[in-house]
Amino acid sequence: MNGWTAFRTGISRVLRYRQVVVILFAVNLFSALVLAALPAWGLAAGLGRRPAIRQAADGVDAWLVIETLASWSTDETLRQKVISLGSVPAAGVALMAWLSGAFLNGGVLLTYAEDGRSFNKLGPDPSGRNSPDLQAAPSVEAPEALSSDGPNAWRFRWRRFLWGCWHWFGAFLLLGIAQTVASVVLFVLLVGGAMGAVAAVGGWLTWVIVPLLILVAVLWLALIECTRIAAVIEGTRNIVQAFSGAVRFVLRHVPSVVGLYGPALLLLGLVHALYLWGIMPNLPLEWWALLLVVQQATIAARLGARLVRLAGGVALLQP
Amino acid sequence: MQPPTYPHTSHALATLLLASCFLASFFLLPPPAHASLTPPIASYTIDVALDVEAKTLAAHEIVTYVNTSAEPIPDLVFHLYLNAFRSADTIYMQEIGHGWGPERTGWITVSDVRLTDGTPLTLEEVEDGTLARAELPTPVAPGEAVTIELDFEAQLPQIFARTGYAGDFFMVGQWFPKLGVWQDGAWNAYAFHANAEFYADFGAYDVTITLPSGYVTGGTGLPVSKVDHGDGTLTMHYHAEDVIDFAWTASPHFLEATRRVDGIEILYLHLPEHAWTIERVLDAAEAAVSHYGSWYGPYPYARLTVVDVPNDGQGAGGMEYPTLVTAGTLIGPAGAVRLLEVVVVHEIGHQWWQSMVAFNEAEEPWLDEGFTDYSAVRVMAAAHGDDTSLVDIGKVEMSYLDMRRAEYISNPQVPMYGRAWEFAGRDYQTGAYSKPVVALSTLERVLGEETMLDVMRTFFQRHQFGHPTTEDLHAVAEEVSDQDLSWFFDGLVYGDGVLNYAVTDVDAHSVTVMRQGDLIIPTEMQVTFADGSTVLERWDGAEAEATFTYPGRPPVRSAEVDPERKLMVDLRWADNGLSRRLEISPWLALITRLLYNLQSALLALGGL
Repeated sequence: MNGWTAFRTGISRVLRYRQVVVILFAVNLFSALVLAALPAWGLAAGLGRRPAIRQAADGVDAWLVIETLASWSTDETLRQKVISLGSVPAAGVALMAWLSGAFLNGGVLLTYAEDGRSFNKLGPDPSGRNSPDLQAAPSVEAPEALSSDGPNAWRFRWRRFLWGCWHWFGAFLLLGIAQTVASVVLFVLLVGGAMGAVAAVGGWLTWVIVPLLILVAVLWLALIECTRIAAVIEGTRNIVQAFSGAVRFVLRHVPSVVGLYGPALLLLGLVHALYLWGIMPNLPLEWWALLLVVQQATIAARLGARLVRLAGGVALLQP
Repeated sequence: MQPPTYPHTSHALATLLLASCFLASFFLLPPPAHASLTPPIASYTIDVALDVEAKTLAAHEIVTYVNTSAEPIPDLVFHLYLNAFRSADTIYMQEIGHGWGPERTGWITVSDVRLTDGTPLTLEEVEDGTLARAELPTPVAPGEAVTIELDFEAQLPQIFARTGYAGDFFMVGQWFPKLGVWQDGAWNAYAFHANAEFYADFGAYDVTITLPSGYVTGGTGLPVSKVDHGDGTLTMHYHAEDVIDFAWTASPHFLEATRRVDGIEILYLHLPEHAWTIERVLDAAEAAVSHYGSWYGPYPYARLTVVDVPNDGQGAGGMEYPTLVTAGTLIGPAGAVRLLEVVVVHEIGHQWWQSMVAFNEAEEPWLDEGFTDYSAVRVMAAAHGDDTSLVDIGKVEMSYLDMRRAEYISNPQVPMYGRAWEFAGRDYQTGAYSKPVVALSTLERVLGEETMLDVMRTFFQRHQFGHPTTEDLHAVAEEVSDQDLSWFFDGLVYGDGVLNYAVTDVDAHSVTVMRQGDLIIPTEMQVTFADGSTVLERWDGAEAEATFTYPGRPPVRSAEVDPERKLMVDLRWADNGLSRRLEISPWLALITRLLYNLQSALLALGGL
């Protein structure tokens, strides 16, 4: 399967299993609400009765930011307040992102991988030890007649979703840590090396290095995501094995991977661009109800764009 | 003093050279545009050769000094600024504390100092060698003039502090033996300090610069002639009147872009790699020249040169000289972050507040930097909007005044008045730049824009081509505004007091306000009642706390001290107002944005 076909397949699977988008959106929103509670309370207590909040509500008011930053070194009370109100959400975001991502990815990928297959044929092993044999299953996008499982083959199955979440939770937790460390190291090495090369050779090299870095970043992102996809498709919780499989796949199918990730990232970029330059400049920030609707729609669209990439990746890796 | 090494030009050659220049002036370039506007006090004729390989200057200088004081002057005191860079032990380098190295070595040696009748003089170095004194055989009587000649040789440093070279780019400032200012019976001349800038009398400058052909030059004043000697060298001749200094620049890569504004030629000497700055620099220069001219008084010179500096010579950027300034090609998104414009507008402001009103930058740096930067704030606001004069990226806006206020409120307990070297660390930035901007902006809001402009205009026109002080400003400001401005001068200029006004409590029928800090400025408080009616109270701020009561009126909804935000020096505006109840709608608007940002972070970090 080439990258473009995988991208189109990803779109059709995301549209077919809309429940996945809803689940992820709900988890995202709920997590953010929990994290926002403490700062919201702090804001109400600290600035809620100050008319200054009216100016803050209509945009990034330089003077308020400036006063806060400038008072940082001189106002111990303010410093303690900001640290106590800000550190919990900051740490919470990282923790929640890690936990929820590790938990949900297994179910999401399993749902897309089992697209068109019956629950009974691909169901969990009664022993609970063996993963489903997805590679033995018919190819994705198989017409209903070929799957011989009837119309239920394309239904979203809650139990299978939750089983997938739980089954790969531990492995994906570990994978998240390993890939975060590896990403940081790679970033430091690549950016440091690129800056050194530009300094040694000259500014013109930037025009060569920046596209190369973008390509490497795309491939690295693909590698990270393909590792999880490979784990699910190969039915393994051995992350080393999954990573090896992903490396082999990405290196052997660079055009297909780029063919998928190119349009998928472009789609994500379009969502961002529409939000940042199409909608936000024309939306008064103090109209909070309308703002809330627009922003939540944007989050849903961004989630959808990301899921298209994952579903397309599943289609790409499946034999 | 080191022995003379300069093989100065023979009289015959000099005569030939001058004759060539004189003839060329008829055919190549326009003559100086105006006659003297003020009687010259210190005038210089300098014939200099630049060795672009050795980065050295060899020059012959003739100085004519007119004694305009009431007492005889027994000696002459010169600044030898380049000696600040001759070792790590100079006052300048000690105050900087780092940065000196062999490649940054600069020095100047003077030889063969004599009166025009040939009487030799002895020049003795003073302090760290950035000053030198020559005893005269006969004191210069009041109203009389003395003319001396000298030769000098100088090594330019690699640029790190205003002057020197960066590859084949040269910015030559503070480069020649230059007289101090005689005032109050003595020479006002200090050794070159790191924070201090300059102070000089007005005069005429006639400078010829010989350097390799192919170099493009710019300099104070106007070019009079350009002579190509046919031997790989050329000589540029510049002439300037009514100026306090002469600086010049040279590079083989300079390209010229020009624009005429109100009859003045703005010349931008830019490097090819900075072609993207042309329109932005010329637009900024145009805005600056036209606004300053209309606010304070016209720019009286025919040309203003703006010099681009290379990336490895940014230490020469952002500097002012008479009729010539250097820009700072700081990279920022076009039209969004306007640091480039700020530098150009600020430096051009110095044409009014230093080059024409020649403050003593060493003793009162707040005057020239503060007036200039306050003026730059106004030009940037006029050109790009009050709230967006520095940053304008979508909903993120920041004015240049915001930036200066940020600097001030992070380090507010600094007086503005003081000698440059008496400010430690970042206090100089606060005392000379940010606090004066914030204080003058406060004064403008208290007096009203028109009155403030009247003060500034009167001060400029009364002291153009003079050396006014803070006391002169005090006198003009109180005379024009007809107000007692001791809160400004005693509290902000000479004092280091701070101020924060806050509404601390709002009850149904009372409002309590508080002053933190010992700076007192009368202000106003607006009280809004439940029925929408308002009351504007005057509060002198004398007491640290005051309570205003409103029996028999509808319940108070909110109160705000200094509602128009006139007091830019108030350290915290956020606590200036208080409502009785939570401002629910703006609170929700902020929470909505916070929620979105948290959701975005979750998406980005977790791959949700």
